[in-house]
Amino acid sequence: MSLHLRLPLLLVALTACTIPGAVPAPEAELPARPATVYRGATVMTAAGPTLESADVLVVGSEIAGVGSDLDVPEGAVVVDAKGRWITPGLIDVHSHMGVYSVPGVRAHADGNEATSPFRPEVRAAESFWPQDPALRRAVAGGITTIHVLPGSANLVGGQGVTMRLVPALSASAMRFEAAPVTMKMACGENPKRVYGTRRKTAPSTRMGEVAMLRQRLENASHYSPEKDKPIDYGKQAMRKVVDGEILIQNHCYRADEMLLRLELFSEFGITPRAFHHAIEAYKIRDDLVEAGVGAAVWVDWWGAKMEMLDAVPENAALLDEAGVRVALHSDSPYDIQRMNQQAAKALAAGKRAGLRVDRERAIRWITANPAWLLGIEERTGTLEPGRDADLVIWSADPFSVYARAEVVVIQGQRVYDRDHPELFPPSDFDLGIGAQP
Amino acid sequence: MKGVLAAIVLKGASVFTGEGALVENATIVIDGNRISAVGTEVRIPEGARVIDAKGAVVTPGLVDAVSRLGVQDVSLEASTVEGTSGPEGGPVRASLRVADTYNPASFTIPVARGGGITSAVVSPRGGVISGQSIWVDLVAKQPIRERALALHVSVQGIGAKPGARSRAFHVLREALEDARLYRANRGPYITRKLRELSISAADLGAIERALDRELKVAIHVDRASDIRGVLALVKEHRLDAILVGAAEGWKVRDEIRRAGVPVLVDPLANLPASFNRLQARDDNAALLHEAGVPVGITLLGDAHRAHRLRWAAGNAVADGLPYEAALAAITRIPAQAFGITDAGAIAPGALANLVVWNGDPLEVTTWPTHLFIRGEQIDLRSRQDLLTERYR
Repeated sequence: MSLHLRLPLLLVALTACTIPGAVPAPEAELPARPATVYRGATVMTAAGPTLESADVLVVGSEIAGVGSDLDVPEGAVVVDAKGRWITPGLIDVHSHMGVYSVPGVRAHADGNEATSPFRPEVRAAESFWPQDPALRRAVAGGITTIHVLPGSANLVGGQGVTMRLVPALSASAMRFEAAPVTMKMACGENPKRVYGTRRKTAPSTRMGEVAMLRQRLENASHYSPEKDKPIDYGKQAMRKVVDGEILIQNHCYRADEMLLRLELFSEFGITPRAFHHAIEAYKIRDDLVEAGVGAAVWVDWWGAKMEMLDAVPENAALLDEAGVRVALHSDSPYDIQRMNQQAAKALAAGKRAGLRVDRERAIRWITANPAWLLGIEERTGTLEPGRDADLVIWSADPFSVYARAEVVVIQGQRVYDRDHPELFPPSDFDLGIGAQP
Repeated sequence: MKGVLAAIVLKGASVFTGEGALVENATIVIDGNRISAVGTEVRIPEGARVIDAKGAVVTPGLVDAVSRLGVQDVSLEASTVEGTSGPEGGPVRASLRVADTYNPASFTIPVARGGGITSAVVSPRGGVISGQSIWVDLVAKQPIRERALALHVSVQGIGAKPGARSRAFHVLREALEDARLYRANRGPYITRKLRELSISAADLGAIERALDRELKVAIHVDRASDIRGVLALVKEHRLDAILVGAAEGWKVRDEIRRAGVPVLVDPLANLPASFNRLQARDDNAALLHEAGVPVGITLLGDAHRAHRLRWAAGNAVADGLPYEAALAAITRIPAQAFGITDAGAIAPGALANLVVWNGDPLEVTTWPTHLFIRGEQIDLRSRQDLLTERYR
């Protein structure tokens, strides 16, 4: 539904409410929805040029307009945002918050069901601890949507979940309802270290990893949830992977291994949605464009493993220039607090190398592009009419290290405000234990 | 060197000298490996190579305090990790010297220099008394300036065993007391008339140097109650100490100030990541500074993240640390904390370690355009740049 259809209805609705006993017009039966207009900000929409002194109109849970001379409904709350910057809510496609919660004690190690290299039936949502103190710090960094994944010990680690960062008592209450289910897979050093090196079981080599996954995909393609009873939930999930209903999010570092994965998946007619970490994606960016595969990368993590040796800070800029849908990801409860600064770093690296990059592209690395990686690009990731009103008001240019998120809005609701810490209260764990109010 | 090579002049920059406000439109003269002049009224020597630095910011070279540069190539490949002796090394390795295995040719170093790092306190890891750190300038030739800089100690008790911190304190106290006994009874020790001591002669010798304040003692500690315990030991043994980590330092900041010890903190470590830092917070650096504690900033030793140092400092500013204090926290303060008096500052006589930035060095949108170590301009290209060149 477009803005132009909706606004006049709302005006009628608001008017109707103000006249006691008035007979509402038929179209006014839609409930009145609160409207807020943020006035006079510098707006990075992630869908076009940066707008100076622009307004963002939110009606109900959605963006109703961005620009100047907007048709603002009567009674709308007006928020002065002069001198402030507004961006879409930031999205992190690779988080383990809630499944590897802080403090990092043994009891909080819920991210790897490392009891078999194939665990397609497990769901990150069913490990998720909504009281992880890290969640609130991520919101304070302007994050509105996270994708929580099982870890990378397994070849198939289990199902990821896309969540909105709202205060809640359960994972279900945070779930991004429209988001497709995802499947975490991993290749390279981690599975062979966890199984081969530590436990002397398969896989112990890269070729073992590929062979084992090939067999699982073949098995899954013959599984029938109708005929095979009782349902084997793991096989059922893998069948959905083969059928393309579940998006593959594949942890993979090296160029040659990503190409091997693409070959393997193509044997079964499937395409992964994205490679995560993708340290060497820049080497094969044309292949990724051709395959239509996204990439989620860091800016400056490198060197912890052999497969991380060829990292370059220009990865995102090179991928973007080539046309790959590239997202920056954190994989860290620290870096998730500063994704805007990660984008600034990646932009600076691209500029230093003389690549074709600009601010308008860079903001997409933490908004529109991760939305696509998660299959929620129709709902969030840009400031455009009809999108969910997920946005951040920054104290200054978000690409500055000195900027801080002042207000974070999810689906039209203010969930974080620096001046009103009670809006997103400290987690129960923090209460009487943590330092920050 | 003087008179052999032409002087190098950086002209017209905003200069952070190591303390106070930036000096605008200043000129710096590098003569040989040292700075000979800095200021707004500096005479440019004849025949000097003049670099126009208008619009640039010049800072002292950044110091990666508590670094793993040159001893850690690939963190998860054990065979590439040095400056430690593994679990079999026991809790006391006071005689372990990072100087033995430091590799100035490590490929991690050019990446760190790309973040403006010119010097590092390369530190040992593991056990309770981990060994002795070194001060290096990040150059190939004769990089080590101080071969036995500080004794590094950790009371963090990492590991999931009960009593890990109790044991750390116990081992540390016993080692210090045995070293005192050893120092006072060298003769009887040699003739085996002294009671048996808990550690080897080599370790005793190293700890003795710390007791004589010839070696600094850098103590890794986060928990407020542990900081109190450490300060008591420092006082009892009159150690020349530095606190490292101090995530809950803000809670005992007045006690730290009274003890007169500097701290090296990681401003990005704001999560209650362990029970040692349940009360970690964003403005730890700011609060400590405000209380009058000398605050240095460190990322606590990951060779691959050393280049992020200025990023941490920028965030500390956003969280309340004054701008000049943040710049000092990555230059002058760590140098002073480790007793290096001619680095971390731009002043006549100081070693010419400096960085020319194309803007605010604490912003992530800037980068170094020139970097000098001991007066020599360093090629800023890293292996990462070569990869980008190859694949662009």
